[in-house]
Amino acid sequence: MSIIKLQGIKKEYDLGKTKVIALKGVDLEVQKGEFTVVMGPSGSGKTTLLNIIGCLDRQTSGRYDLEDKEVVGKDFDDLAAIRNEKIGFIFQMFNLIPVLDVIENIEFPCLVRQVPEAKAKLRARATQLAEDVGLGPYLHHKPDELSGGQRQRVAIARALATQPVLVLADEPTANLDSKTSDQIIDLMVHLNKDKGVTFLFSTHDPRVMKHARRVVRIADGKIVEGTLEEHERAAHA
Amino acid sequence: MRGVWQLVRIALRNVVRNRRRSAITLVALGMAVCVLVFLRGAVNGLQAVLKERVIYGQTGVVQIHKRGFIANVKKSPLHFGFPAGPAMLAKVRAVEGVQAVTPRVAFATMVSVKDTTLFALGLGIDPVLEYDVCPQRRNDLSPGSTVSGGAADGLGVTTPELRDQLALKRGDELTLLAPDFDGTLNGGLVGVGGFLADNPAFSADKKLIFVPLAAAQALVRLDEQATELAVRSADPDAADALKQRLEAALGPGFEVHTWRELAKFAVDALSTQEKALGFVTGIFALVALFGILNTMLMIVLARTKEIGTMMAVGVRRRSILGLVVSEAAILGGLGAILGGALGVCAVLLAAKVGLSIKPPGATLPDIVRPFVSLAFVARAVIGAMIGAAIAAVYPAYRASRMTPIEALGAL
Ligand SMILES: Nc1ncnc2c1ncn2[C@@H]1O[C@H](COP(=O)(O)OP(=O)(O)OP(=O)(O)O)[C@@H](O)[C@H]1O
Ligand SMILES: [Mg+2]
Repeated sequence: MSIIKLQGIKKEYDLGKTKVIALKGVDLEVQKGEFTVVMGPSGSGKTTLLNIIGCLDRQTSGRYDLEDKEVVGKDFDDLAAIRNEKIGFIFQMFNLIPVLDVIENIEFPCLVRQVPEAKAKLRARATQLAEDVGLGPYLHHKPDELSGGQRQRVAIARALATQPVLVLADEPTANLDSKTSDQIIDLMVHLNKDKGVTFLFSTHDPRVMKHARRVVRIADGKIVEGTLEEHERAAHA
Repeated sequence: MRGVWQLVRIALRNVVRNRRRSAITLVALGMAVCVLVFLRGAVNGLQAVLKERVIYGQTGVVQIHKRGFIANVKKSPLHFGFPAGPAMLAKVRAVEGVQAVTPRVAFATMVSVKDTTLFALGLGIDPVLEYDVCPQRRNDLSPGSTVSGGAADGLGVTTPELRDQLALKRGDELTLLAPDFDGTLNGGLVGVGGFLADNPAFSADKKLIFVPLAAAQALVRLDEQATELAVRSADPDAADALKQRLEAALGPGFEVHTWRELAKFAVDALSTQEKALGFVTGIFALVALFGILNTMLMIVLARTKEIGTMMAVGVRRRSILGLVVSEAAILGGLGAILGGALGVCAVLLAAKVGLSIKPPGATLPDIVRPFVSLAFVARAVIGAMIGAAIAAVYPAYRASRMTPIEALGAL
């Protein structure tokens, strides 16, 4: 089953006098359990693409199917519900809620649901997730008491808490040093292998690609799919 | 429901987290509520003094007149004399709620001493019964002054104005010349028993002389009669009910008026004070609400990215709105509780010490003891909380109308 199916996705930003065409017709399919890296230079449209896939933004034209169901122009709260139920987000800047501790941040997306699950069950699952990402000893630390890498681990656990069909990560390692980056990528690779979580993340860091099973290259708003070797050659060229 | 609680908890923690900003807002709002509570308390105290002076110093709780008296104020009150002997007083005392009753005779008179003569208003009062109805009258007398005696050996008191214009001393003998109800001019003598320390609170007339009832009755030839009966009861706020009972008991020959109807001037002063307080309250509320609005706009701006994150993980618009509004309500509630408590303390302290306030025209200050009802404090606190929440609606609305991309993109 394909989780995502994009057909001819275009995105224009209307800046009044001029128009910026950020995506010029993107076709992309992501299967369940894949670990896909969207790779491309700055300004190529990675964030724009992930925003559309994440239902944070709507395409100007083209068709987007999520779990074989077309995402049609729905209102804010409908899209919010889709985001909450189907998609986990990992941000470059971690984006944790400062006043909530680790475990509360992990639980947060589940708690804002119309019908939240039982407290004890949620707490048990969140605790397990915190342990899975290596934050067992930090459950009651606030984000400002954690390192960047630890914060991103919280974000990963939070993204998984709702048991989404897809986890999106826009340059999740851009604010981390290379060692921490490797650990974060390792963690995501493991979660992908062990739990079958479907990951789609963007980067313009070629080093990250050695972990990727599949690389989608984007340049100037268009997709160029290829093998790892081709990309390495391109990167070194 | 737990989702809502979750957001309120975040709002609460945000208040705690931003200590400095919260403190500034709390202090500002708290001060506003504190000042309002104190002002209310002070005005309450002032109004109590005012009512006390009017009711227990001049009018009594209600007054009984012969029918037509109030409608014919221009006519001499003497046309409205009525028998006010022991039988009449007993009849009034028998009415439920009446604690005391006293007869009075009001008259216009010329006052002469040596070769000076002035016009004045006279009031004959019973030297004993008067103080049962209006105990405050004693305080109006300067030390050692007395209204006493009967028709032949009466001692009266005058206002300071009359004293000064006639160069009166205690022990002087005054000649009173007054027309009675059919126009005959009668003369009488009364000794100067002393002076009023001050003008009665709400009298337009500065030249007044108080004489013993018997002396007044003899002067205007209204033996065993009175032009008014002043009545005291336990509860001045229940004057209307007392009025109805008295009218029923006395029949159509009499009319009864409450202190509110009699002391229009005092009632006007009370309502002016209420209006002034309302105006001040309005200004305070407006400034406080504007402050909250501004604070919440800043909060929303500072937390745009956090709001974007919440939107991304699926928080609904309504909840974003609720988050901002509840944060303002918490700030408002806390500030108001602090301010209210402080205001109550200030009121209690001021009540203990006593505020010395001089009403216009008076020479002696009144000791005002502020008081405030818990119901008022509760209303002020709840009002501030609701007001803060309302002031936050616009900033909250702006926050909730952002798209997730806009919100996330903010630095
Ligand atoms: N809100 C916007 N308004 C106007 N133009 C935009 C907006 N967002 C993105 N763009 C434009 O769309 C294009 C793609 O931007 P996007 O952010 O998707 O690139 P990116 O690949 O994520 O870049 P980076 O690696 O620097 O994050 C750029 O030309 C950018 O200027
Ligand atoms: Mg980007």
